[in-house]
Amino acid sequence: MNSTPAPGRRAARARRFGAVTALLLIVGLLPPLHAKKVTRVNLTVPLPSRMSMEGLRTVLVTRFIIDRADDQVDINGELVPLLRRQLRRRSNLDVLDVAPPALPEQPIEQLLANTGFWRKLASKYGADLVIAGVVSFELSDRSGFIQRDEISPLTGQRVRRTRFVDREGILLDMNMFFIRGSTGRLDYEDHLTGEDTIIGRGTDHLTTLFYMFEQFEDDILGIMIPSAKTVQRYLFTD
Amino acid sequence: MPGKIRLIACLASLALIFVPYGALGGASLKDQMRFGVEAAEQGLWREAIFRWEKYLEARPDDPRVRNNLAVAYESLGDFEGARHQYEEALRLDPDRKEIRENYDDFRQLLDLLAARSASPGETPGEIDE
Repeated sequence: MNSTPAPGRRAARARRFGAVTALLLIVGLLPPLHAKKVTRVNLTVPLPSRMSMEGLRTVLVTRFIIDRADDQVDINGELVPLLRRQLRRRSNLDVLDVAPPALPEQPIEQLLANTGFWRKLASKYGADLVIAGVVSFELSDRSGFIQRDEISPLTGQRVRRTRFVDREGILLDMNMFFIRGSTGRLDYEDHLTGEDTIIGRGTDHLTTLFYMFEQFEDDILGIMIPSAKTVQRYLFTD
Repeated sequence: MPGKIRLIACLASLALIFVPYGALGGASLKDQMRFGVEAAEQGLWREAIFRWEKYLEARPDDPRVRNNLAVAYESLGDFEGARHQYEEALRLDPDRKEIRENYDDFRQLLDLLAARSASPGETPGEIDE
C-alpha cells in the first residue's frame, strides 16, 4: 500500500490550502465587521441659572398681585408658601420666613420702576433679592357637544356620534419679577402661562392650582438655581 | 518541511484574526479612544477628556476625536470649548452625519440657553421714591 498522495491530488490540496490561508489573511486584516464605530450616549448638560445670582443669598417673597382669580382659592396663602418651600428644598438660598409683605396697589409697570420702594422693602427685611409677581388663576366651563367615532353595537360599523361632555378649563398665568435689593432694580422677569382642560365637573380648585404650578416650578426655580438637561450625542468608538 | 511552512502560515493567519484589529500599529492610540468611550459611558467625562486629548496630540486632524471631545466639553458645561471642537470636526469632515447631527443639536441647546437668559426685565424709566 502506498500512502503517498498522487501528484494531482497533492496539487489540488495545496491549492485548497492556499485559498483557505488567503481567506484567513483577508479576514484577519479586515476590521471586524461587527465592530461598532459609533455609539449614542446620554449626557446631562449643566445649565446655569438664568439670572446672575452673584451676591444674592437672602430672598424675600412678597404677596402676589392678583389679576384675575377664582374666589375659592387663597392664591397667596397657597402659592407663596409653596414657592418658598421649593426654593428651600432645591437651593441653598436663605428664604426669609416672614409674613409676605403686600405690595401697593398701583400698576405693576409703575411699581417696578419705583426703585426706591424696592430698596426700602429689601432693606427692611434684609433681603438681597425680592421676588414679586402678578398671578391669574381661573377655571371656566368648557362643557359642550363633541363628535366622537364609535363602533355601533348593533351594526358593528363605525359611526360618528355627537355627545355632551362636561369639561372645565384651567388657566394659570404668572408674571414673575426678580428685583435686586441693593439697587431696587428689576434684574429678571419671566412670563409663564399654562392652560389645561379637565373632563368632568366639580374639580377641586386647590388641587388644580398645585397641578398647574407644578408645570412652572422648574422654570421658576431655574431662574435662580442651576439646572440640568439630558441630551443624546454620538461618540466615535474607534 | 512543507508541513512546517503550512503550520507557520496557519498560526500567522489565526494570529491576525484573534489579535485585535489595530494592534498592528497605533494600538495605544486606539486604546485611548476606546478607554475614553468607556469612561464617557460611565459618566466619567474628565477621564474621557484626558484620554481623547492624548489621542488628539498624536492625531490633531482626526474629526472623530474632536467630535468626542466636543461632547465631553458639552457635558461639563464648557460650551465654548465644545463649539470649537465641533467646528473643527466639521471643518475636517463636513459630510459626517453624526458630527453634523451633534452640532445641530448642540446649537439648539445654545439657542435654548440664549432664550433663557435673554429676558431680563427692562425697567421702564426709573422713579426714585
